[in-house]
Amino acid sequence: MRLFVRLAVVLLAASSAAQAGDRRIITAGSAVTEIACALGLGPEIVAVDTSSRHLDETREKPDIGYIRTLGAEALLSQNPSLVLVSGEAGPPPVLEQIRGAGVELVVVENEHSLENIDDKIRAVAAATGREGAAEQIIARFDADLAKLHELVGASKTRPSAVFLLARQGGSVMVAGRDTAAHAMIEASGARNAGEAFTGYKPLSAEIFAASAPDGVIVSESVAGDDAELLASVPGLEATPAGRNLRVIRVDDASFLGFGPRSAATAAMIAAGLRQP
Amino acid sequence: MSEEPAASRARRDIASRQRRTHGRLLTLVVVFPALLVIAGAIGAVPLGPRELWGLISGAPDVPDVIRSVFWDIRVPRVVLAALVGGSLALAGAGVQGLFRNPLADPGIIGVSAGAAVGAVGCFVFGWQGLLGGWVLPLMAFAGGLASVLLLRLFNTGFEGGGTARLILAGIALNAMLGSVLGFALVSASDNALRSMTFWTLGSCAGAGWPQNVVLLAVLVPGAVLLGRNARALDALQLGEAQAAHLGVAVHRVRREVIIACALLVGAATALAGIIGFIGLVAPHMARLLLGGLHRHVLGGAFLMGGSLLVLADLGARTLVAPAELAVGIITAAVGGPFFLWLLKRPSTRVSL
Repeated sequence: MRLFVRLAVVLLAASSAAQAGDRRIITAGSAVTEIACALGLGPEIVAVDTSSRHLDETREKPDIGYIRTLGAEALLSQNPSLVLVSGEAGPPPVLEQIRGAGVELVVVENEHSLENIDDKIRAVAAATGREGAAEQIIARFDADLAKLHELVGASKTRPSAVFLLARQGGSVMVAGRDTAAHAMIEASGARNAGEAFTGYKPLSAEIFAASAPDGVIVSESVAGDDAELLASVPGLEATPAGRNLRVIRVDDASFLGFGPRSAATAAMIAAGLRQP
Repeated sequence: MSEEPAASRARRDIASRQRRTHGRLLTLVVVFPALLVIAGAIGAVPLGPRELWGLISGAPDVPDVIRSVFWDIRVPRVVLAALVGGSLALAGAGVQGLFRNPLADPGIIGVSAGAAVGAVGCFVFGWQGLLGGWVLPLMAFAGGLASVLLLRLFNTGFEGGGTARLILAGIALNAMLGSVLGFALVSASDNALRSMTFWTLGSCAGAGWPQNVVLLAVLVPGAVLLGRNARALDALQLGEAQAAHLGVAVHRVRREVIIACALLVGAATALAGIIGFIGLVAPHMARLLLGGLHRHVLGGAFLMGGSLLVLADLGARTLVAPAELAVGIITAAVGGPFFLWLLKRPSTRVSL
């Protein structure tokens, strides 16, 4: 009887180990996490960063915090065997400490471009031995990208658009150059109405109205309908976007994260801006 | 009619106060290493007493990851927190003594703002990963020292005017550096901006043994320089002219104290970012507990500041684990209530 119990315990332990795999993966960066989940690695992921908790598979996982301020011991407390992070992860000494502890750390470069997302998918697949599954995802992404190119190529106009980050007091935060939003607007065949400056800047109503965007892009997490948005953003009413009520709502991770869904999001924006 | 003479009563009072001060200093000396040990035993990776003993005694059956977590990550971090907190508190005691102003913060001589300008330069150019991560502390330290040199230039070598002029020059310098910083931030990319924001909240997360060695190499001369001016700082509390009559070389003292504080704050800020509150409040805690003699205040401030930051960093690395909190958010939360309690206690109700 005793032997039987012991055997059962051993078998149970073995089966649960096999189920979860021996691998314990931590991912940081929404694109890296989305790719890992698309590759079917969801059950092996034991913790993710704050920007990666928008997927069903990761919502309940422990949160290792903001990707730029990781803590080495805190991260190692999740006992990972592989740490997969996007290029902005840091601070650098913490990454060194993780490597120093003998845990495999793979950094996936993160550029603001739809053209190298294939490389990201390949990098994650190579680090996890999922090259086979990667080809399917790449094919799907490339199809989205082809659709986007077709849409943009067929269009004779180049509308302008602006990404509104937040409303604060009498001004709005608008994405300028050197931002993920700028790259996405350009990728969707549009001109960034905020291209005169870099980074996220608060714009006065006057300057915002003068930039005359044809469309406004906001996060889908922004509360209120289009009319409320129009009323609460000073200067918006005076722009073509306001007059035509052209508001495009995007999912933050696919709009700013340059992940596997980003080409489809860019195509959605391109179509939305060109609607008659 | 057994009234004892006033003189002997006074002598007894002084002796008992001295005994009390020494007792409290001894308590701090015991509490400080005890806190280090406790902080070393607690972390995001739970370690039982047996594992801890195995790690300390070097038992071979401890897994390499655990060994690395303890010896390469946790222990150097606790030590760095202690040294950074101690350095900031020492510098705070130095400037408060020098300026005879309880509201003086080590930031008043412009070191933190200068370090921030150095750091923002590093972030704007994207150099923080270069040279194994040493570019950031180097630029921050250089920025901190450069700002003190600027102050010296403006104030004709610290000697020209009185202390009030030095404080005003410091305020002007801080404002100028603040505007340089603001301009850099406005033109910075989103990435640089975020990195900078977190740098100004402070963190001991980047701690390793090399960082501790570097900090000690600056801390020891800085502390010695302050320590040998402890008596002069006592005399300065009477006023600058009075101190000069007592034979204190006021200008030399001022120069040495400022250089020492610049070194201490510069190095601490370079390695852990901007950590407020400790430099301002730890010296007061030391004064409330130990009285106003600077040889006590300096030692007490070091132990107090070190203990405070070790505790705050313990919170930073465990409260929201497996994530990490910025330590600057916690220092005041940990130290504030304790400070208020000290202020309220009747036995420490002395004049600041």
